[in-house]
Amino acid sequence: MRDFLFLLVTAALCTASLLSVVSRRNADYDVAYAIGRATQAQRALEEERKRLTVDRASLLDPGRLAPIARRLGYDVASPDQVVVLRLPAGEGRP
Amino acid sequence: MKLRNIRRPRAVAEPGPRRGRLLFLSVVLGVGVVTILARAFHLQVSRNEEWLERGRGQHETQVKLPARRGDIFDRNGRALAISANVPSVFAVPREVLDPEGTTARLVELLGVEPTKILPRLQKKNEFAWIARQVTPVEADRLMAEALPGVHLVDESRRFYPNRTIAGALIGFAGVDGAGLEGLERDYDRHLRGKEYTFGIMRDARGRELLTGGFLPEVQLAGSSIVSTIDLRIQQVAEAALARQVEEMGARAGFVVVMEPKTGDVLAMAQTPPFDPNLFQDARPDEWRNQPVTDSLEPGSTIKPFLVAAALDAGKVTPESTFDGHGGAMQFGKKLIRDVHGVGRMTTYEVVKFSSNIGAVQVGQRLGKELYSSYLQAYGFGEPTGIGLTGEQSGILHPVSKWGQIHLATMSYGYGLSVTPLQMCRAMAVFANGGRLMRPRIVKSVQNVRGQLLEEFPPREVRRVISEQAARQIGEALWMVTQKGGTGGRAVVPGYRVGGKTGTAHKVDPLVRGYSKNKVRSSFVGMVPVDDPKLVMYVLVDEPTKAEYGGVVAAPIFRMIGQEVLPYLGVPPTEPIVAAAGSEDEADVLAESEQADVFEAVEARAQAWWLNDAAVDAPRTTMPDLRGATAGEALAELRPIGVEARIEGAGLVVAQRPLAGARLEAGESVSLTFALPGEPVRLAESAREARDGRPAEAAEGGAPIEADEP
Repeated sequence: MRDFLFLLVTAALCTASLLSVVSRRNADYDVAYAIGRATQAQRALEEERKRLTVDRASLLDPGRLAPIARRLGYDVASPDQVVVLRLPAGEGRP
Repeated sequence: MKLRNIRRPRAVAEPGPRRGRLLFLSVVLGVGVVTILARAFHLQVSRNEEWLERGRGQHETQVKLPARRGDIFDRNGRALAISANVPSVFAVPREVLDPEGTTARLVELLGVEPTKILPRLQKKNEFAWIARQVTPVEADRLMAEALPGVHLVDESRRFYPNRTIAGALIGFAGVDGAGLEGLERDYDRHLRGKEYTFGIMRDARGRELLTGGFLPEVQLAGSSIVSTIDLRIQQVAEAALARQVEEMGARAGFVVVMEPKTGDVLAMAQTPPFDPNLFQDARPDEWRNQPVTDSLEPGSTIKPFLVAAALDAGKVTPESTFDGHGGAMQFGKKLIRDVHGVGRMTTYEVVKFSSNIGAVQVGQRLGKELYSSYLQAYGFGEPTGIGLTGEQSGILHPVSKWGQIHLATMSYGYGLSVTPLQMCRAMAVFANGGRLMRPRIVKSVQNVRGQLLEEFPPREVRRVISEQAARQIGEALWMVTQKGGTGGRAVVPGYRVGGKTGTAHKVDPLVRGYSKNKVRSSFVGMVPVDDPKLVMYVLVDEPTKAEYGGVVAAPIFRMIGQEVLPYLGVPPTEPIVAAAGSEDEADVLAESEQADVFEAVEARAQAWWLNDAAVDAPRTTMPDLRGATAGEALAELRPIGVEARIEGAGLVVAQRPLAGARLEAGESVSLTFALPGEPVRLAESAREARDGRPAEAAEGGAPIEADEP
């Protein structure tokens, strides 16, 4: 009986440690999947950001903005509209 | 009852046949176990490497991640060149079930050439490109079709969002991402970055597990460079140059704008312009950065350099006088003429009246050795060190080869050649108290996060003339723009301008001499003359409506100056008067006239917040939406009550119906969008809408610019 119990406990411990190893490995794989998904998402977002940067830069093209600005009534500043701000010594830009 | 001492009965010996079966079974099982162990040993130990390799082959893939090419920015951080991924189409021909049918669909969807595609699909190999760098709209259509064996892959593509602005200076990178021209080529080692390879494990369902580590983008991406170009100034320079070149019926033109204290090149413009997004369509001579690659005879713009040298060397003083010979002087066998003959003139008036006769006499006093050494000190005859490939040295012959006639002709700008950049840099010597700066086109290199990696500080090369001589020549240059001078049209209202006009006849190979009617008109100057913030060199090649530099090139200086100086926050140095309309009108206006002019300037520059011109009246006709964003287009269409169908992203490149067509409420209009440089392949309906467009533009490769009014 004692032998049987010993065998039973040993088998249970072995099974438990095997399950622990397997579950730990599964957890590792889950993390790896999550990293894979996150990396893909990061790449996709970076691509989107770059595309938006291109879009933004083309919208800011001065060759495009100048006629629109003129149509909206903007004009080139005349020299008398230049206001020079003299800051006290030691003060940086606002 | 005691059970002690009871012995367990001894096992009865197994009868013979049963024992034999057990033995047999044990042997079979033992053999089985040994076989399994042997096989396991064989697989796990003996052929371990081979099976591991096969396993890796099934689950792991090596991914090559090409570095993203660094960006190019202007001095204010505005993008001049950016990379972004775009889809490219490839095929695995052995997976293609119906090559003919697939080809037909690809032709329809992508506009590819069937005679090129069909043979590729019939080869039954592993890989074939179908179309590289297609638009997102085309990629979406292709994905919807799900053609067997046809796939998409992302490829990095270079975008130049400002299209032609600074196109020749920026240059371009090829389809494979290598810099081929301009800054793209010259700073390729910084921009290119490093390719990174890492392993990815995939499971049976193709899900990705990152196993090869992760490198942050900062280590992968190429560095970005920050140029000294100011996008706004560049655009103003290009617009002014293009307008005047067109008005004068000229062949071409260049402008170089420089900040004299640092040597920073703020703008380097040329016309005809070049769009690096479409470099495949341009000829090599169109993408040449001509302000550094072309050298030309400077003509009269050389005179201030001669006079400044003579003043610095003490060979003349401001009070020295020269005989004008009534406009014609015999020098050896050569008759030297002035356009406006005078009696006597001072040193400054030699510059003011652009007198060839006076310049020859100043040259004689200076002597050829001294003149040659000063020209070298100004930086003529050697590259400026700006670091752009293809830069020319210009031609400055050794003084040992100069005769007296060469000294005479070189005194008024013939017999040597200079690049526009050299000329601008030399003028900056006067603006900079006599010191020559190395021109700078790139300020710094930074990583993808904007952290500084390398800086190129302004560098003084040498002192050329004294501060006093620089101040004196500044006065002479200012007189050029005053009453009686040749450069009145360069006057920027509100600022003291100094400069020099030039009109140089071109060499005509057919007549083996100077052409009578082909000239280069130029103007080199600085503003404000007392503390210059800008130095400019302007050249117009072969104008047909007029030829003098004061008429052809000087107005470009004024147009640029009057937009750029307020933009840079340079306060006015003079009462504001109108720019001169002609050489004679360069006179300072009388006090009584000034008030009217001032009012005119004020009215033109009315504050935007007081202006209600932005409020448009409701429309009933289709507006011209080309070049507008989606938001702008919808804002225009909303009051009309029409329904807009939108295709693509970016700016409107085509519309249906055309501008001016009558619209009814509830009607449907279609708008096609694209980013600059994206090849635009229009749907049949939109193509029809583009009446009057060249057929090849409608077929593909039509840039946004081609669609703008």
